[in-house]
Amino acid sequence: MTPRLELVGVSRTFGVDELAVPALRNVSMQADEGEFVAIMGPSGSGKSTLLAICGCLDVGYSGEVLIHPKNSGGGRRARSVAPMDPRTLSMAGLARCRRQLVGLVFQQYNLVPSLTALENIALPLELDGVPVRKARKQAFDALTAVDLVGLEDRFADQLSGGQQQRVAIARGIVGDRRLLLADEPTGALDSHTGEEIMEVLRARADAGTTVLMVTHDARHAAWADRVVFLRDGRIVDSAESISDPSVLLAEHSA
Amino acid sequence: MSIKHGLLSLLAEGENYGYQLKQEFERRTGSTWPLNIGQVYTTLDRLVRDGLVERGEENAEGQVRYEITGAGRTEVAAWFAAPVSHDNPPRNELAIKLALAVHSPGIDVATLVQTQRRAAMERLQDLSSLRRSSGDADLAWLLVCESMIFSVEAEVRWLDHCESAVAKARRKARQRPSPLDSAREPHAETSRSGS
Repeated sequence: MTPRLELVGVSRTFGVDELAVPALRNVSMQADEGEFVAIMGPSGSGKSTLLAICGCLDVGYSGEVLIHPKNSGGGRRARSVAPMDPRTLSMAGLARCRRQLVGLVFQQYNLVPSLTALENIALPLELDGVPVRKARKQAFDALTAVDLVGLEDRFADQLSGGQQQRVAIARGIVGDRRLLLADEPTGALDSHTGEEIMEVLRARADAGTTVLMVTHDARHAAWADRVVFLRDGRIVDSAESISDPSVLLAEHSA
Repeated sequence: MSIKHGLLSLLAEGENYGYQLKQEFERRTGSTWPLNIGQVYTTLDRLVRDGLVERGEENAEGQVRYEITGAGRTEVAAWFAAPVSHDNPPRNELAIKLALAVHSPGIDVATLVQTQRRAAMERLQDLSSLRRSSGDADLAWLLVCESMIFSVEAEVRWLDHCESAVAKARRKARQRPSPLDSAREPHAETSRSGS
């Protein structure tokens, strides 16, 4: 598998000297193209810190973080794009990385209330200087990918929680960004709507996006290809679905 | 539940042969409870004896049709109307294992919990992908599949709870020194001042 994201010996400590609190300790992991990884762990285990680092929001870490920009399948030119470590980037470089490479989704949808669904999705592209017409076209593609066609002109307060979260996901993937980071994306939703959001994330992963999701909900984590368990800032274990559904089906109808 | 009520509820939909009843039962419950044909016929004989089912004609292949009686319909209706009893919970090996582990010297409860959590999570992933690949399968089968998903989820949540409960108890135990510790302390004090 081709890696999209690599962490090598990543540590993060908040505070200094005797007040230092280690949030991540020597974390190494990899997420491949099109892989859906769930991160589980109790409060304070370092889940959100891990996501903030991968999302170029926190560069106060030691170790190495590598984000591979484009899919390897796109010929020799695509492959030649070097991976980047957020820590080595300038503030402007980090902002560009967030606009072009990684999408972030939170428990709160963080939509701009005065913009429509489509305008919210197009926002990162417009900030990036993409011509309006092209931005709208790409935003509409992303809106279609999260199954919101028909609601593009609604404002945030005219959308349900689940729909707002879909807009946030579309904003996270627009412009062909292939790394989507979601911190408790179903935390504010009821169980059924949460499952619908999982359907959207699963479909994005199946379409080639790498999804890293922090969650407390085991049933939602079960949609992922791999579940990583964090404890006290360390990866202590991981669970992986190995069974082919057809094998399970055969088991059940035997 | 007994096979008795399962067969009765199928017969309430219409008369049927023993083998067809077995197949229909398994199809609807996603083969989570496979029946052997001997069990089916023994149960049908008992239902006939109790007046809940009547034996019909034998066909050319020697198969017997069974039909539900009025008393049988009353029995099925009562079964559907009553809640499933929790009087005799099945023995939960995991709960017993943890109950024994918390006071067993040399057993790391956190590791035990994590080992189980990983297994449960993998099971949940498998069930979840089975559920996804089933798409618009028969509603009865989906409900049975989801029942398994919810019970594994409950296990994971219970394990999370156990882990934090054990950690909390350990913290408390450390904060409140045992009588043994306080009895030892003056002695330690003496030996220090003596040296």
